Amino acid sequence: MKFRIRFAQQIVGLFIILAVIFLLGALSFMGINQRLFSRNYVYRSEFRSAEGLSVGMSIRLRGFEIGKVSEIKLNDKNRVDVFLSIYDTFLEKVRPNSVIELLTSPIGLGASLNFFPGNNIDEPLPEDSFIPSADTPLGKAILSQGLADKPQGEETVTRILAEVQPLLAEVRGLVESLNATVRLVNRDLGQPNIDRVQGVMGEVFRTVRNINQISANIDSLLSQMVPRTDAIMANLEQISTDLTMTSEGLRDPRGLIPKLLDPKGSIATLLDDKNELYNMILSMIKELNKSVVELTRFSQFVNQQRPTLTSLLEETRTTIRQTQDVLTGLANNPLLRGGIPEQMAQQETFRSGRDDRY
Amino acid sequence: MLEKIGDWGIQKMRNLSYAAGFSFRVLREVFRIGGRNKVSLQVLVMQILFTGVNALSIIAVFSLTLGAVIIVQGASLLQQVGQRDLLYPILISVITREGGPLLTALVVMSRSGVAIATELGNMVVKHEIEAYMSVGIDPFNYLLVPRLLGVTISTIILSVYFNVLGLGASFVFAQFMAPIPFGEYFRNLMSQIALGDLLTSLLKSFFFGVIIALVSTYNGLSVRNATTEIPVVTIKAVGQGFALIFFFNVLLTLVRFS
Repeated sequence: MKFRIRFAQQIVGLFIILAVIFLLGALSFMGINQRLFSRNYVYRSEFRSAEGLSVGMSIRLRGFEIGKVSEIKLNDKNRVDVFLSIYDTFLEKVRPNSVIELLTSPIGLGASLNFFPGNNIDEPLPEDSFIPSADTPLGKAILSQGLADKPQGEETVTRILAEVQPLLAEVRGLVESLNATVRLVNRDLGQPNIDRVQGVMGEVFRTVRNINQISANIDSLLSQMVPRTDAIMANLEQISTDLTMTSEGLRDPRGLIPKLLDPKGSIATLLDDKNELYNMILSMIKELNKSVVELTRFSQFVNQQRPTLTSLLEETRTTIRQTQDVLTGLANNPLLRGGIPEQMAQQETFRSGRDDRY
Repeated sequence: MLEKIGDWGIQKMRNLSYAAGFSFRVLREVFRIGGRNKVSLQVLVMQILFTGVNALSIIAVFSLTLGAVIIVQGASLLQQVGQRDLLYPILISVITREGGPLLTALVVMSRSGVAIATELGNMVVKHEIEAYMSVGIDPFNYLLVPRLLGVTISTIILSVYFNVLGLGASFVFAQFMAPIPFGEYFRNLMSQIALGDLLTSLLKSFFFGVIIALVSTYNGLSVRNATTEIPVVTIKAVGQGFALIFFFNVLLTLVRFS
């Protein structure tokens, strides 16, 4: 008979017993590690907010886990009741004037629940007692009077965190107010007001279009004015150049002004020759006046004789044309050259007053 | 066509009804274990031997492989993201809560379920069942209840071994990846595993064992005349067993986390 068949009962028994041992051993170790077989003592605390708190969160005393948060609920006063499950091994630490403090990392590294035992050496607090939190007036008073055992090193960190937390609260408030503003803007941009805004935007659009039209007109006008302005500007530039040259001439030490102001110059001579030059100029002007009078008389005479002269000139021109014809006839004589060619009539360039039609 | 579908539906309902009655009868007989004779107890021991002890080697291979794979894959991946502590929840979830009961049930169904269906089918063909009944031996009492108890107990115990070996293998292979003291590993494991995880594992194994035994015996006894029916009912038993195991696995997982 095979060994297994022969000792089947023993083998099966061992098989089962070993499994049961493993199972019971696992249960035992699990119970020890998770304190399934130990008694925990429940206490109550109160916080302003449940933010950062969670069920199962460790309660620590100087780094040691002395319990866990077993329940969190909102009470009738809108405060947060937190039930603390303290291990029986740390029960003696829960003395009167104990305080619990929630520290939340400002950079998002989680939160921790620190327990500060009371400094007195009384009996431990009975189960279901109230342990104030550090954010309540009672907790603050206990900590400020030094009635709880709070480490100094930790206090520095706590103070820093406490300073940071109001800032974070202000930032949060600012963000919330911004959110509220954005919500108001969003609400104001609701359907009824959108129509109004659209109307205003239409007006603005039309105004902008008119401005564009005006701008185009101005462009057109400027395009017409620019050549003229350029010409004017060219003239002005020329005048400016002339003035510059004049100014340079005036500034020139050998220029016009020194010559005019020269003691031997013309002006000085004119002012200082006892009217000699003046009289000479005056006599010349008188002679010129006489000549002009004579010229006027001659012109009047010529005007009076102009018809006669015109007739004379006309007769002379006719005579010249006839003479030319005779000479041409003679030149073109068939006997001599082939006769007289026909002459084209030529428009007179001179027209007398009598030729005009009224 | 409609007539065929109707016949098929009626036949399925009849089979289901018969299976329910069969299961109820077997389970009822289990509670009469106090009056069982020594022969039935011997059958039970032999069933545990064949189903449990003999399957331990293949269960060990599966559990060691799974534990090693989890620790090799998980440790390297989790270390890259600095979440090495998540290794313990992953081990507990994969080995204890899901993998252990499921793989154990699949192994037991593949080995012992097939064997039970084939054995009972052969007994039917050879009229051995009728012979037992003719001499006053109740086949439910003598054949089915010891197999049901044997398969169920074996599945539960194999699941425990699967957990022990799988978690042990994880520790051994962890030494090659990133050495960790056994005390620390064991303490972390025991502090992370919940009582519910352990109970879920045992409960799943219990249900899977009952399913395997009932499906195997029901299909084995459904053979009528020919030996050629035996492979057919065996294959059918395996298919039904796998389907029911997966279905109940999902159902129990949902119950656990709801």
